[in-house]
Amino acid sequence: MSLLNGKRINGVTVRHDKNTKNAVTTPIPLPQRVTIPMQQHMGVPCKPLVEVGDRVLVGQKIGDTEHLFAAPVHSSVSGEVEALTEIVLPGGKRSQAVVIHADGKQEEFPHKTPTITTAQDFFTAVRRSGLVGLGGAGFPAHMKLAYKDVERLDTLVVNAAECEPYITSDYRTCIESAEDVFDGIEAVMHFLGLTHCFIGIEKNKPEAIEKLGKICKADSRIRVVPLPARYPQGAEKVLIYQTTGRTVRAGSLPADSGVMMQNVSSIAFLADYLRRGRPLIERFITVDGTAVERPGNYSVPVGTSIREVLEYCGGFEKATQILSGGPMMGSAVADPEMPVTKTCNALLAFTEPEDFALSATDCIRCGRCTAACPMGLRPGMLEDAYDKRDTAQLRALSVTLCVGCGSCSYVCPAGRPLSQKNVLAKDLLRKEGN
Amino acid sequence: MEALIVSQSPHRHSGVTTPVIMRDVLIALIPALIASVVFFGPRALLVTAVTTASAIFFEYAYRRLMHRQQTVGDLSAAVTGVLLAFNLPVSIPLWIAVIGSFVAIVVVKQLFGGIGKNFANPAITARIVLMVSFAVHMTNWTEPFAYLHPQAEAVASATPLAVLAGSEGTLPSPLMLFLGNCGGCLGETSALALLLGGAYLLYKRVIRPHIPLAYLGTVALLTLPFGVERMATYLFSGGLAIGAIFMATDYTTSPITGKGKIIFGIGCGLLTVLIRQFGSYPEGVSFSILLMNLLVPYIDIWTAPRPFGLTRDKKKKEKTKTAVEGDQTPIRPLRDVLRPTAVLCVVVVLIAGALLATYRVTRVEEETGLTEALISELTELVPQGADWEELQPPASPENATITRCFGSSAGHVYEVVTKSYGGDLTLLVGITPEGVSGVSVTETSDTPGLGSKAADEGFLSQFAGRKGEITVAKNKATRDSDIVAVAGATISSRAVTTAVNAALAADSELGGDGE
Repeated sequence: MSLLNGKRINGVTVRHDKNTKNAVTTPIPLPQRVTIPMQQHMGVPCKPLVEVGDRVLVGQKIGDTEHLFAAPVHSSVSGEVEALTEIVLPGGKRSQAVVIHADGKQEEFPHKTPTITTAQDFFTAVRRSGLVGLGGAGFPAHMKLAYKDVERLDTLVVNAAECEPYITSDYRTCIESAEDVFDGIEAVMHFLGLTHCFIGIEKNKPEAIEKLGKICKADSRIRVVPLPARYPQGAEKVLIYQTTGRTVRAGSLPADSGVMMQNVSSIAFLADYLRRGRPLIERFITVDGTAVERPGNYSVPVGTSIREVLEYCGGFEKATQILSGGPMMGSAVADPEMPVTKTCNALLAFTEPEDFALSATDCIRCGRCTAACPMGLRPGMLEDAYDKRDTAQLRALSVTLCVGCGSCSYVCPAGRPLSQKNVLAKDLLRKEGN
Repeated sequence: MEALIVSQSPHRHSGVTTPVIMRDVLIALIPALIASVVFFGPRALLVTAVTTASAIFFEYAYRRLMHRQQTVGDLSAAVTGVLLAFNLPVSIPLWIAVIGSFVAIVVVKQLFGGIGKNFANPAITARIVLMVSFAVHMTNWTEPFAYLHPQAEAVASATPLAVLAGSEGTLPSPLMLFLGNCGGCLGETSALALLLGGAYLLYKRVIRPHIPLAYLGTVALLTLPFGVERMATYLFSGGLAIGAIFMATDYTTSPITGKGKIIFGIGCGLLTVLIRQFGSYPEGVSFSILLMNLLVPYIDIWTAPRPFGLTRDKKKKEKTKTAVEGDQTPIRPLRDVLRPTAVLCVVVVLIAGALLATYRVTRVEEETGLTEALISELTELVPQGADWEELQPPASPENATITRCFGSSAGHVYEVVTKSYGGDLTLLVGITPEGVSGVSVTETSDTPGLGSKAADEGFLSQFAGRKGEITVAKNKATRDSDIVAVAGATISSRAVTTAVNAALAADSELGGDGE
């Protein structure tokens, strides 16, 4: 039965479109106004700590909660709090937001470099930094790092796969802040007592592999693992399998397999924070797409409106579709006034929608979805089960394992919304109370 | 700026859609189409055009009449049409070809819900239906390049497989078979052209190599013991190449996973060799693919991929959990899948074995001996005859057909068919060295009472002991050679006489002494 176990992980070949890989990260002009949502993470939303009229400094904490399962929010500009409003985030969630009018002085809050002696200090510092998983999920970093059974952990996996088309922000981080990546790895390994580290990078980024390889020579515990340039290498379970050979069992966390996984940008930020004490207030994002006139990598203050970023890069008027994130897993932006958040790694604007408005036709049973699914699921059957609201069948087919990578929909010749149905199916099971 | 387009991820598509896939299949069929025109002439193109157009029409009309989403644009009907044409002999009457399209598109495909819903391959099933319904037209093979000599009488050609199965004819060399220079359906003969198409499909990733390789590999392996040349003959003849590359790989009717595809291919190969080797049909590709089509749901369950990180124990736990919660019985791999599959396989093997045994037994009897009833009938016509055996019938004279010939120690019996008043008249004529020893009418459609009196003993007894040309007198015998016709049934009497004369002539040709 070993043949059935699928030692090779499925995936799809997508056009890489890494047009901006040589574009050095440059800051965009300071926006006049930033809108900073209180929820930029998975978990409990923060409460605003400022009032209208308050003056805030760059990096000053403006939102937090007593709950541990949250990441505090900081101001990305110096200026005056103009309003406390509620906005709708991409993805449809409502969140409170603090609107700050920038005074242009960019006066920094007196940051203090965190003093850390114990692992607990480390976790506290990470929470203070406001760091969330920068890969896109936005899981509060300290929650992930402070795994209850720290003895079990032995390996750090750094996700630098960046398998989504267009996006090169992680790649630029590897190139421009390779030292930070190394320092961050050292810090995490030290405080968690890890013995191995694997950095997973797709083979289509040889420069990054070389650069990181050179720097990491200093520590024999760190290995750079080139991965096949095949989507979705960056999916958590896929990357862990590809780098460590460990299989994260269904329903368990990677940590249960002894693995701590972090995005490469998160790691680099951590090193920077431990050195300077400046919290997460700006993102390095890739701006690209057919509508964009000056594609590139930009450093953007959190809270800048999407419109402003795109206007600076040119071509905003031509856009008919704007994506926050990559074309495979990113979300479509309904309102360009929405702010860039911590979890945003790319803004893509297209003159025409990327998918050519396929209308779904009948399934032809070609099996491409099954051959594409990295989780070994059968999306065609799942869709059928969802359409019948057959929750027993959905569970039997393990729909909860779906990582939402979208490979099935990408390859479906009949244009069926397979991965979209999986989202609905998981929702259906959740509502049923499992 | 206008409103932004919002969609759910993924926002990108591979661009490979159903029409694109079907277009690639059509492109892959072009080499075989060219080969068919080269070998069988422009009529191959006509047949293909007719099946394709009618398949498209039936698809369009059915969807239209049933108020279903129009699917004719996905080109799958065109693919079915072309494949069907490739499974017909070039001489097929066009109306039969249209019936084939109807069976394929309406009966096999649309009645089950259209594309992706049919459980059997439409073109294969249509071929089988036509083969069973119009056996003569469906096996009227034309010699390659016969179209270049329209004056010459059409030469019927046996397919290489028919030759292998014992029909008359010469076996083309494996190279000729590979090129397609042999009798057969119009699109199936050229393995070379089909392999070219298959290579294109693999390159375009329309098909995966599992099924063709498993199918052809199994056939090659099983026929290797008969020698390399025999293996090559097997591989390059009949519908094997088109079946393995284009028919067995049909998405809808083949398993989803690679492992399932391999099982499917091996099954097809096994059945093909069994049918070709032991079955009464020389060709087994259609039946083997159809039979394996029926097993696809089982293969799919059996070879379902295991979700990532789901160990067997965990899976079992999940299943039992659903058993408690859901009212639907969960699938238990051993009891619900493996056991029925095994039982099914055993049943199939047993039935196949029983059929095979029966066939072998009956065939043996037919070859070496004749049935009791026939022997007693023959002995009545040649009373001293013993050790009866069927011989190759001698050439027929102009006005009668000698259909069978039996020889014995004492003389021969000829079955002769001739035209009479009401249609065909069939008689058995016994001839010994002493002349005609007996005549009996086995089938007549003449007027009862009058014409059928010609079958009476009284009339027939006149032939006893006759030799040489016999003539018919209306009322009274005037010459030695005359016999007297039955009153009012001269035509029938003449027919019987013609038949007896034919038998006498044949007997003398055969070296008999009935001069």
